[in-house]
Amino acid sequence: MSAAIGMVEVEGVAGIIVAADVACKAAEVDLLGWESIGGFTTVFFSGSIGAVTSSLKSAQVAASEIVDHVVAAPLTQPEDICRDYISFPIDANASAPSGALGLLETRGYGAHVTTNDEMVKAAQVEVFNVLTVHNRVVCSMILGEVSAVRSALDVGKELVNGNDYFMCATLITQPLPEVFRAFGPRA
Amino acid sequence: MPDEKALGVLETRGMTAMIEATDAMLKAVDVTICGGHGVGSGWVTVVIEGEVASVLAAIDIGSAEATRHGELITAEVIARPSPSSVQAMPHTKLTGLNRDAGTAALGILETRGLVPLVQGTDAMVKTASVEIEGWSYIGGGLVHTIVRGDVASVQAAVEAGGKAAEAAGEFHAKLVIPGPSAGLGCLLPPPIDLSAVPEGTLGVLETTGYVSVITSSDAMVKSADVELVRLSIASGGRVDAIVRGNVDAVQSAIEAGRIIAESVCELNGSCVISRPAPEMAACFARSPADAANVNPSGEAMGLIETRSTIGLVKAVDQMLKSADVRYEGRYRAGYFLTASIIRGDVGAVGQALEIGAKEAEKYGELVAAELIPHPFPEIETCLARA
Repeated sequence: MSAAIGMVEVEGVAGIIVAADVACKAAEVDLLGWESIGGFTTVFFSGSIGAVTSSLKSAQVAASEIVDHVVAAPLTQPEDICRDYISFPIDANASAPSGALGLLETRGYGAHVTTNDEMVKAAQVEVFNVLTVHNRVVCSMILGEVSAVRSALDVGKELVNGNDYFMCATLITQPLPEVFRAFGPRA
Repeated sequence: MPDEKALGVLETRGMTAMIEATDAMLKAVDVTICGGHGVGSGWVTVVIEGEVASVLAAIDIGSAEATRHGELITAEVIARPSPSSVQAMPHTKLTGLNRDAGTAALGILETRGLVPLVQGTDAMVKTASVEIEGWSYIGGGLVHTIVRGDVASVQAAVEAGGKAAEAAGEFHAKLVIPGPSAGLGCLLPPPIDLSAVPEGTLGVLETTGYVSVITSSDAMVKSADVELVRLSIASGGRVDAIVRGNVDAVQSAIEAGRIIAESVCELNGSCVISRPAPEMAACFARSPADAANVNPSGEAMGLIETRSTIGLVKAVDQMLKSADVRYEGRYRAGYFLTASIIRGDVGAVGQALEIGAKEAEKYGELVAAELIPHPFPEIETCLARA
């Protein structure tokens, strides 16, 4: 019997990055990867039914704190083909940096070019990756020490605040290596 | 030091506004394009670099032009960019930066949906001596064709194309660039092979979603003696079926297709072009390189489509468990909808779809769930895999 699968779907991508981290911390589950469709994304993880159930609950709560439209569902005895839907599987061999991760999500790309520049200048942080998931959603992933990422995010939020296209900003203080491996740059 | 170059960022909605703004920037001051990125829904960005004063002037000019010809989203200048902020950003991966735009005048016609674009492009090539460079989609249903020729011809062509597009559907923008700047090459669609010309009358049917286009295509090829030449993405969830045959056959096929499309999901438009310009026909009807290698099996086909990944995965999981059906694959209509196909005997597929539709609705929007008892073999070879 194959392991159970948990899925969390949100608008944008920042919500599933948070959900992935929380899910893997909450119980013994493996992060499988994610899928993107029309500005919505879905994260997939697997484990025993009990582990998936409790991970799902925690992940759903965490995602709901930062974004709207959070849907969560388990597959208790998934058919093998369910894994076909993961367009971005985790890259188990990718190197994972250490540090806190800041997420800044807005609609539109241009603002991220300037905002990332301001954030990098304002604090000792670097741009880990920039994800674009259609329907104009763009999420910048900022890496550094907790306090640096926090002040960079403050600068970033200041710049995009009052902007109609702002979606969310959040800080993951101790992200798991899996998070970097699933949401890192791809060739 | 190259790192001391300033960066300019310009984001617009629509490709016409972007090409006009970029051309004006490149001509007015000494700046070069160093990147670009599209994020869907018709939003496109170019990033330029140069001396601070030049970049400031360029972005001023670019935003004025973009506003005049469309919608400006962002215009920003970074005087001293930090190199580390830029290297991880996707705009730096834009290809074709060295592609020359050539010296001939360029004409652009942009519409929402492929039906007005096909009509407009046909009118452009028939009106004046212009060549089709290619066509492309940028999300939100926005599609554009680029033509080339001498200035007078391009002007006449674009004028006629705009009128035809307006008559046929939603016109977005048009533009003539008499002498394009060389750097524009990276914004042009990839050149296409215009040698394979489908003969006869062309019919175009535009629907929302993959299920709708497959079921209506199936109805078209069964109802009249037409051949399906292409399924094409128009973005924003819209998909087009292009058929060819003699004029009467195409007309009745499109009629039959319209009825099915309306009943399944949404019909966005259709047209019949009795004598298509050969270049236009070749441009839009080239055979799909992305067609799946599916062997016609003769089994009944079940199609289910959602706006939610969870909805679709749950539906497929339930369908495979509850009925004797086989999973064939997943398909996408652009980046907005997601569809799956199952196969089996008619009864099993029907039962599975009913269960799948109910399951999908629990988690998000169900776009369509349809059964084709005897799919036409031609349909099966045209399916474009995700």
